[in-house]
Amino acid sequence: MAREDRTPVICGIGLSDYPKAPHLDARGHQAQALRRALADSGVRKQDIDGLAVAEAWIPGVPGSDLPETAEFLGIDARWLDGTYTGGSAYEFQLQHAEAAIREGLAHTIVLVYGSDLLTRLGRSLGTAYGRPPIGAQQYEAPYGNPTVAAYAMAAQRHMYQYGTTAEQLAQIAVGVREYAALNPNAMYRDPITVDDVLGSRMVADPLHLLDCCAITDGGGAVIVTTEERARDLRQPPVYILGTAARQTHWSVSQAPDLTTTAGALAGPDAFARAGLAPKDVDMVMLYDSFTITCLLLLESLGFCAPGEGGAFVEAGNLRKGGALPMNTDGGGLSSCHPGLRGIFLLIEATRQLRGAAGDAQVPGCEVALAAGSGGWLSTIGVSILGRSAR
Amino acid sequence: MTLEVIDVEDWDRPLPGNDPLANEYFRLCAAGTLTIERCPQCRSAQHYPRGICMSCGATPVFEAVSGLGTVYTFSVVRQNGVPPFKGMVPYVLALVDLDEGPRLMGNIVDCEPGEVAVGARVRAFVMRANPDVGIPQWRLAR
Ligand SMILES: [Zn+2]
Repeated sequence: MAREDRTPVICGIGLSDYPKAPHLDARGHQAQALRRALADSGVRKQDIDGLAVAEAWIPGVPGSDLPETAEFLGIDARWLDGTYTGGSAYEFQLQHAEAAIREGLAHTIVLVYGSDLLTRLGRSLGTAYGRPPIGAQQYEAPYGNPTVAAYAMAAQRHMYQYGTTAEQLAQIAVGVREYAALNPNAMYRDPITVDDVLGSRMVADPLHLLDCCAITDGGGAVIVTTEERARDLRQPPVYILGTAARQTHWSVSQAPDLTTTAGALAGPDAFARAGLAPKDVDMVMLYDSFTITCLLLLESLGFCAPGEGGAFVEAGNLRKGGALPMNTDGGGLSSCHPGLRGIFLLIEATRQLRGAAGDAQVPGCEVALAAGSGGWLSTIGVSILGRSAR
Repeated sequence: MTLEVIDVEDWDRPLPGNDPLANEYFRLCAAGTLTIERCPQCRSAQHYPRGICMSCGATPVFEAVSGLGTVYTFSVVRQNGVPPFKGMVPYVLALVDLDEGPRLMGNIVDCEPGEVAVGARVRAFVMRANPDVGIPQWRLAR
């Protein structure tokens, strides 16, 4: 018998109910997303032998053990991954899953995520809870450091160093909202203008309310298997062309340089593995916890030079019909951000590469790049996906 | 040099000093001494204290610093749902580069938020939460 072709592909995707789903808890989101990914792919649950799950720390919610999640979902796994790097966790996990599939450690792996953040905490802009003063947080927690403030400090430094403007950041929110209008499930769908963003209340200078992502419920599942197995399944395979990950710090006060990200290190790794360059990418799914997050990822991944992100955005590149459409599902800014958005980047990129994105479809989409950012611009995971093998 | 120390009654913010190294760091602060860790072998400076030199692995020592620094970046926080910060908004959160190298988080107080700028010079003082825990804070150096 010929040796199985172990080229890893994404064969199934599923989303749980969002943006508000009071009938589901985090586990409910996981289970529903898994069900939908199985139905999408045609994979039978008993054929899944690998599971990757990341769970965010939420105050007052007991963490669950990875084996217990496997037990709840009814998956007998020979391969488990609980890597937690914040919002980039599912890009880190895809890298691990890709390697595990190639190596034969597992044959069909599912990445699962679920969160009831909105139902549990309300619309908090990420300022609803502080972190306890233990470990490195002892040197930050006494000062009142909500998540948004870390990104605001990055934006402030970028403005100082490069002259980036609030208008340019606002353009990012406006463009993502255009795509949200095409997504019937998106949290916020009404068109907005740059003036709307600049006129929304300041949360942490220089970031306004509309520079900040939505807080939603939601979950997702991504099934990865071999190209050979995918031939018998329902969907055209999406190829995992190159993955890479990098961490520069965790606590924001330990960031070596807040005007760039670890994407400047992970990006070249991912492109080298894919044998591609930024110019080959047809659309991007960039983590948009805040508008500044996208700008820093654009620059650090090499889509434009450091300091030129503002002009790149202003030229309309990221908009529908632009050279590099971004966050075509409406992003975290306008559609869905339940805490760890990384898995939704992979799901939407897959939808685009299948040519199944409806009104939001990027014409001729052959290569998509997803980049997750975790923590405080701390951990960057890059996944380059393609419609065909390279 | 010894920093100005102000006793804060009823400290209601998160209280650090919860492991031996942090306990020593914040105790020194409470006595008016802001420190970094300095490696006696390779002379590297680091913050926060780790008890081991991240460059060479030797055991660093606490070294007093001048308490002078430059604002690397900052934000005026206008929304924070967590008490007591909820009642403090707007306040300035900043990252300060010490003249000696390492970067610290802090608040810049006793000024209008609009007076703070990237590159501004700042001087440390200490808010003492209790006799053993001093929290380094910052004012514009005028
Ligand atoms: Zn050393």
